Amino acid sequence: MIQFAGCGLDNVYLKDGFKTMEFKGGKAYSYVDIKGLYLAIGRSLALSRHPLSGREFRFLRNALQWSQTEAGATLDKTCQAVAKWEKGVNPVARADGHVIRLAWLRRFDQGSIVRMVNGMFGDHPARSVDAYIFSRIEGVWTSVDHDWPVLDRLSAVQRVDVSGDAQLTVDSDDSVYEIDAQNEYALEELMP
Amino acid sequence: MAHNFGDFNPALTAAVKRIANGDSDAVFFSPHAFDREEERDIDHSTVWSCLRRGKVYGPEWIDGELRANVVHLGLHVRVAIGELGFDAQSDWSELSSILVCTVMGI
Repeated sequence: MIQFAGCGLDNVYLKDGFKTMEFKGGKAYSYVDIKGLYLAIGRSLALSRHPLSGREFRFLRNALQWSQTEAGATLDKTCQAVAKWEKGVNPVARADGHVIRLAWLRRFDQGSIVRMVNGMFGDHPARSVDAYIFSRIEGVWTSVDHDWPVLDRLSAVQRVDVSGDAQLTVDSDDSVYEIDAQNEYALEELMP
Repeated sequence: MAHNFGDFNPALTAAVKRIANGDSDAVFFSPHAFDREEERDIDHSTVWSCLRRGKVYGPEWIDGELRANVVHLGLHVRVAIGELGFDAQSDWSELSSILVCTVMGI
């Protein structure tokens, strides 16, 4: 496993999907489908729930091809405020992190917006992510970090057979979630 | 500060663009390039953009090593040529990979 520091984040690791070349006593690296890798990283950030770090915010902003001024205008902040977040001088406000997550999903993965919104209002405490680990699975960059309650929960919801009952109860690992049939219908409408 | 990157090389520019727009596993990043990216707060996607859109100057001998310079919008990416088995008179259409040695702001 190697660290993928080239994306500007220091906690992204690749299990495979890279090539090496000997160069001056060290190893040079290249990456398979780097565009897909950037999308997978962005999706992981967008679906995580912890307050974004400055570097994570910058990753999503760069993916959106927004300048700091454009991001600031969207979030009703000055470009200096955005610059301070990204330098780590000030923490990224939680709500502002959610907005840029939504913007990223709107551009690249609209089908996951409901997952993200459900995660925002989920019962689980938002845990910081120590490491994002990716692997090439069936030719696609895939996160192999399963430490996200929101994803576990939604995968459980998707398995439910809607029976028309007014209330559905879904077991997911050690927790029980309740959703009503109307919401389930809305979820299926929005899922790809 | 004036920069001298060598002579503009349209054939090598075309080759670098072709490779950078193709499969990403043909573009290698050296350990030194990683270090300089981190030090200068530049990420791979910016380097990629430079390789895809930049102009290539050289190659020229720098400290005994054959290097070409890719320049685009304030970024200067130096790529290895000799280590890939090419020399200054090579047919650049045969170039099939890029090795990024270092990245610098201009």
